[in-house]
Amino acid sequence: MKKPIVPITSLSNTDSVDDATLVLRMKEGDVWAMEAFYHRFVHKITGISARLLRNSSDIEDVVQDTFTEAYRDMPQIKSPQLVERWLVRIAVHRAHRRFRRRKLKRTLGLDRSIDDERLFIQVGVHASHEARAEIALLDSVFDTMNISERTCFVLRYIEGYRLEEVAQITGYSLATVKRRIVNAKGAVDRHFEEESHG
Amino acid sequence: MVDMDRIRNAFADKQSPLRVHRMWQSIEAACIDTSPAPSRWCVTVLATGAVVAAALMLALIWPKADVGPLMLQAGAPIKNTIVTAQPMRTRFSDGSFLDTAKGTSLKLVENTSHSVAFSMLQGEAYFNIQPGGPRVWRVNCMGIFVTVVGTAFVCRGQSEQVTLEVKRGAVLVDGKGVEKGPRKLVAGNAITVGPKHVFTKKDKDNNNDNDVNNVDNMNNANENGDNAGRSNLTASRAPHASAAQPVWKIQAEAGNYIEAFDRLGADKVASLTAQSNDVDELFQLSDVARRNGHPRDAIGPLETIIRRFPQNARAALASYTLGRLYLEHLKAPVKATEAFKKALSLGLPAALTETAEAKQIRAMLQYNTTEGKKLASEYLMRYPDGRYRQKVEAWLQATVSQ
Repeated sequence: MKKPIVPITSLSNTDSVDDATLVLRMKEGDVWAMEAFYHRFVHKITGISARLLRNSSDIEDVVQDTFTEAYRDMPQIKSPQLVERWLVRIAVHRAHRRFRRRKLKRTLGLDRSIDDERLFIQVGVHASHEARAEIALLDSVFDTMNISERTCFVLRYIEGYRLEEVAQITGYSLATVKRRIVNAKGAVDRHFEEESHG
Repeated sequence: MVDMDRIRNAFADKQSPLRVHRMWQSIEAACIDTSPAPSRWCVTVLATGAVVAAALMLALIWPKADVGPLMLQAGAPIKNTIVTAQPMRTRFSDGSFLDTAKGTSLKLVENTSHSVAFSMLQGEAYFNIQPGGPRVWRVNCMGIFVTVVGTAFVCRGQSEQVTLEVKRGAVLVDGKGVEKGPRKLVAGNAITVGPKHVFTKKDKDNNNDNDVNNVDNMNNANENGDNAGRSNLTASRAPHASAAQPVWKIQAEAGNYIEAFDRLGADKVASLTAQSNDVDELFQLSDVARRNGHPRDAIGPLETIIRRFPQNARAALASYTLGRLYLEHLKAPVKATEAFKKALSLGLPAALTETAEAKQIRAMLQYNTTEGKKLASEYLMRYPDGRYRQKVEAWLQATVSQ
């Protein structure tokens, strides 16, 4: 059945509309709201995907799939005010699938591509030399981490989510999240310590 | 210890505008300009519907099996001669029925999956022909030649006249007694012609020895150009006149085509064709060869009719028959197309026009797809509820899938 045409009211500043209102307008088929929603969250979603995957092709695919799925499932969303966490959850789920697929292909020798968007490339222009050096070290630790630990670590320490939020986003239990974060953090600390001692 | 705050703050907050724009374009193309993806339930329902529709279409366009000749409703074959001592109703396998009055005599002269032909010799009969049936019915009502598909009419021989009344549908009538040539009669119309030859008791007694003297068939429309008065319906078919007929012709009129062809042979068919100036005789020669499994020998007489008697009302029928021979027996679609085209241009009876057009399409599609499609499109536009619509669509579909 064809949807009724919804009159579109333009807004000068997208930040003046809260997440819940944006979701409501998207549910009504407001194309402007869809674009505003994208611009509001694209940097965060791209950033998380980039930390997890470090491959530009995979990153962009995940971002596109995430928003496509979000627009498709928007009518089913129950808590519009939590739309950001819902979106991050979709992105993480997509990134996991993408990561496992690439890992399998590399194991089978079907994929010889390199991760072209490693963490040290993702730093901003304002970053200090010390920060750049530490991120380069983090990059090498990430090579040894599995995707679950990496996800928990990125969400907790780089994105700044609380443990409960990490559990909700990843779908793991709180205990599992804590254990994985401890493991990941331990690996990072050990690596940094080894590097600092020579 | 690692300073995680410093690391967190080192990452760029914003992505490059170019990347953001590029990704948005992909998302927009995937989401906004298209309808939302149908649910799995919706897809399942649509797929099931498509399968059912395809099965239905297949069932409709699947070539129908040859229905064979017309039978009695009980499944028994129809007798070649129907003579009723008392009023009776004869029901047929296609739902049609025939009511005959006491003393009525009919002859079955053709009975195939496509056509049925009766020759009524005397009496009164009510033909109620089931509309939409697979056969064209042709009835010679004591000189009035009736071509119908689905209709009801009464044929009545009284005194020296023959009356035909149409009760339902429409019929095409022709014959010597029909003034102003072939015409269409619709429900409520009637036509009376005469005087006709009266079958006296004496005539009938004479005919008992050789019933074929009274047999006529649809190809006996008297167009022999002998200037006998048009109202004199059956003068040329008087029983005693048949005594002068050659044996092959008597056999043919009786439906004994094998014996008739045995007497003639292919050479004789060709020589008689070359000599004959009689349309009836040429038709008979063609019929004898055609019905005896010699379609090539049947072509000569038909081509002769078209060439020598193009003004004759039955030249169109000859061309139509020729087209069928080329298409169905000799697998010569080019010649078949030409023959059907000629038949239509010569003024084929309305009851056969649609059939001829459909067969022309069938033939054309076998060797010239472009022209065939064009003809088919014209047919489908001209006959939105045509009898051959499904077949034409199936032929087109088969042409496309080749």
